[in-house]
Amino acid sequence: MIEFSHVYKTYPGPVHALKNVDLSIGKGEFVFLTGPSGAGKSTLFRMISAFDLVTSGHLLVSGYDLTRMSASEIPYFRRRIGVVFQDFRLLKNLTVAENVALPLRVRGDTESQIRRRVAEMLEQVGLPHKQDQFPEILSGGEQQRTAIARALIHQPGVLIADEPTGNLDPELSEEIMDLLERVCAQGTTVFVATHDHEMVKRRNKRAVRIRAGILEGDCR
Amino acid sequence: MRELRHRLFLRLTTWLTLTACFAVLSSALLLALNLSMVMTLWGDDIQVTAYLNQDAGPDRLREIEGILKRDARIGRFEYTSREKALTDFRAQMASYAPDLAADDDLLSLIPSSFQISLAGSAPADRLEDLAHDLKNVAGVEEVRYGQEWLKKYSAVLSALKGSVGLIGGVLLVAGLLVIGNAVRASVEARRNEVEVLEMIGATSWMIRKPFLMEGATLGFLSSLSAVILTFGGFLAVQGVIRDELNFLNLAQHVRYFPLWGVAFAVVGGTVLGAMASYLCIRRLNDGWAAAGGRR
Repeated sequence: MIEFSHVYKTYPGPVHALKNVDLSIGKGEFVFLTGPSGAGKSTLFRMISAFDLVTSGHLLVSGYDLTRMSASEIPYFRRRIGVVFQDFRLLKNLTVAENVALPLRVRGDTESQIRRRVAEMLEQVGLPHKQDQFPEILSGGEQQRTAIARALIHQPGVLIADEPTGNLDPELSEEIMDLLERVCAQGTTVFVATHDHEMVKRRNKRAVRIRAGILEGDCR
Repeated sequence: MRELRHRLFLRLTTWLTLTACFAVLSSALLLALNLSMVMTLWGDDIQVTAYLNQDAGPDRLREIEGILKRDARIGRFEYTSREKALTDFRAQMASYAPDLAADDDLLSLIPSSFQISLAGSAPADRLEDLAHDLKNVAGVEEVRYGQEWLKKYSAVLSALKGSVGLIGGVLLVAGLLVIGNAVRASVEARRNEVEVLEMIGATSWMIRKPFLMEGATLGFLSSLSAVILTFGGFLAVQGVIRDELNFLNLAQHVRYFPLWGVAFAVVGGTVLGAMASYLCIRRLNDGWAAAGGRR
């Protein structure tokens, strides 16, 4: 589902953010990406979500060759993936249900389809009673669950989560990781960036380590 | 709440500024239009008077009449003999200057003349051309058509049109900048929303459409407000012309823009608004927005 092949990313300076990254993640896998701050985790995720271009090499995600993709294809590619951020990125002026429904509205689904799917997703993340609330009054865990629901409502093949528990306490972090594991069990490839080594150890999943733009280890 | 108030305030000031710009522009255009119409109107009333030599006999007279008949620029003409001119002059001057009216030596200098009206409207350059040609006709001593006044008026009108063009250009650019600033502020305020929409796969059109609509709406509302404001001002001025300056006999001639002109102004304002918006957001979400469009 995700394949990096001799990928380099260099910014003007020059700043070598990624160096010769080779990484392959199959369908339905759950993979952690660990490393210190500035190691290149976010850069890797920006490549995968087509928010930045590789300097050289090849990158395939969900069957799309991102190195050959035109600008007009990008929105349609992004509808095949789900993205979760550390800061949730919920829209303050929309309710929980409206936030979750956004990807389906963008896709052009009918109102009845949207209502049904939103109800299903909110049930799955344990927030059916919060659908009419605004994000500001939700707890951190509830906001992140809303963000995960939004990232999954359109049934993407790949879910990337950049430090999804970075702003949460340990208890909530475990809740979110449990939710992500359930999502993976349903067939979605999940790729999670984190600097919480303890959590990675507890979860016993494949972990890829990155430092200074270079992949140092791949523990399965 | 504070942010909402700030955005409302920004939109209100933008609307007011744009309305003022468009109102000034349309007022200047309306003024130029009506002054041009007045000039044409007065020009239509202007008669060219060709004074004949004292020794112009009947043959010369017939020649001149033939020339005037053959000239397509001339609508009609009327001959005034010396005797008739003399009678008319005495009748006019009898109460003002009776001594002058009785001075036979002075009155013997009064020439015969042709009063000539042009076919169609009479812009200054046509009158000037005709006067120049008539002066070269044998037997014609002098040609008068109020040229000094007409030249000055024409010069004022040309200057006004030039100024309107310049002001119009400046105001249009100002309008573009004002709308652009408002849209830019809107984009900044909704940057989070734009990034989320990008992330979930919204196309460029989906993301840009609300901002284009905002610019077009600003342009529409401002141009419509300016049209209403200008119309109110026009009615007021027309009232003054009718009540205070009725000796000019112009009240029934001054006109507001025709309906198609009003429609054009409103549509033009809307298009200007959309265009200004597009110029601000054309780099928004080009697919690599977060990377600044670098490839």
